[in-house]
Amino acid sequence: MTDGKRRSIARRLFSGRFRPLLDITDKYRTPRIKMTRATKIALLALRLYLIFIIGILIYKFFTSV
Amino acid sequence: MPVPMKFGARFYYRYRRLIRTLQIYFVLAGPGIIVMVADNDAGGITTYSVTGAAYGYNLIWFLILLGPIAYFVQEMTVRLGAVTKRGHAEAIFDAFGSFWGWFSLGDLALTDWLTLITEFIGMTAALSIFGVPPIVTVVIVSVFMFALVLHGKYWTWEKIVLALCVLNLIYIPAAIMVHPNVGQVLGGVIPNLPGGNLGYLFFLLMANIGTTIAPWMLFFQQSSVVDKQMKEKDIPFGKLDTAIGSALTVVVAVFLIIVTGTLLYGQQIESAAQAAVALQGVNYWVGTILAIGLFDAGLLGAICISLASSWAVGEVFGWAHSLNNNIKEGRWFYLFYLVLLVSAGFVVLIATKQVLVTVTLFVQVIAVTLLPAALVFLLLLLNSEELMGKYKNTRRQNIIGGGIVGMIILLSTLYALSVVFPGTFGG
Repeated sequence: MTDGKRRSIARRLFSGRFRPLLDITDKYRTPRIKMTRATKIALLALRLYLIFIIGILIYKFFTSV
Repeated sequence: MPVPMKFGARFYYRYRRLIRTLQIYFVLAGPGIIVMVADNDAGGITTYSVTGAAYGYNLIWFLILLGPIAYFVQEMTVRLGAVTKRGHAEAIFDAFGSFWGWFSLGDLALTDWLTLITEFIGMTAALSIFGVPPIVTVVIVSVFMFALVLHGKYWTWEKIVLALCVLNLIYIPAAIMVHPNVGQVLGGVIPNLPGGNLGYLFFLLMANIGTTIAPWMLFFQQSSVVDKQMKEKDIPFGKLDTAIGSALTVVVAVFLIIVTGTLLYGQQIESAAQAAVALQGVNYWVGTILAIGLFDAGLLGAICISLASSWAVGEVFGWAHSLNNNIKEGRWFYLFYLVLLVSAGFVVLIATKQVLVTVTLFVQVIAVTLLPAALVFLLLLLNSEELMGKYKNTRRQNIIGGGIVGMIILLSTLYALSVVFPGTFGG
């Protein structure tokens, strides 16, 4: 399935009420900042950090419930 | 007599220039002082009260160090806001795309809402000391806060909030009233690590860092700079405003530590409200001042946090989101602000004590998912030549800013881990 098709299915599913959210997502789809090597590394590190933190929270949730 | 006349003219010129500079500063002052003083919110007052009771004056040096750290981070938001004319949320959407944008906005809204609940907890606890029922506090505060933003003038809002900031200095007379040993207080300015439980010490140091730099502060000050319509030429005044604010935040923290360190040293204190009641037993007026200060801190925090979220959501959704807009123009912005207030106040009224304690702990952990992202985005944006032009970070600013951001991320993560897994560091 192409990106365009996927987007149009999502749009039909969430049309109306969620329209502003989809419009904002579309408006800012492409990052405007120059993707230098440092920027890419920083964003990758941030992703890994967040996966680590959220993983810990999920672990804590399941071990304490 | 040409020489004296020249001297007189030069003196007069310098005097006029100084007066003119001060006049401009007083027009532009606001966002930096407000964000920094509001940083000493209800949670902050609790942290300082506990720190003073546990370690006396020993950690004053650490709080003094936190002032410049807060300045270096917040100063970047002044430049970013003045140059891009965008709030932090919109800047993240624009520069890093919708994934990071939604993540930051959603996380900010959740963190701010939870923090707002803790501010209401602080305010209701403070006024409970005077016998005011929580429902009365919540209703009066909500009405006051909504009325504060409704008159359609950023200027008026800012001046009223600055007056509330002055009230935050109430701890200075309180500290004088407790007659501290000045020699011992000055001894606390010299870096030292008190003995005892190292794990608990580490926990408190991290808690103090956590209360000094919070994610909402970045979003608030940048949006505030934009709403105030500050321009590139105003950046030096914005920096001065932030520097004065960071000095004030340290002054408030240090004087509060002097109060609790003098009268409650060695006592087991868990909250600012508990400290106020304990202080009333020793010196009624000092305890009363702490309770008033706690209420004021909660109110300032609530005002800034609810606005930080409302500005951020308004920017991204394209609503009219300036305090200069009247209610008709900015109805969605004001409605969102009202919903935040009412829902947070409602939770405080209906939730059990256990739920509120969980919220207080949970907010510290959730903040750690947003703070690193917001700080990293800030540094990346400040390094963008196309966005910032000549106002981009210099190498020196990057070294200092990068070091501070790295340290904050590391310590706030360790703090979150120690909250999630108590006793991790032996505390």
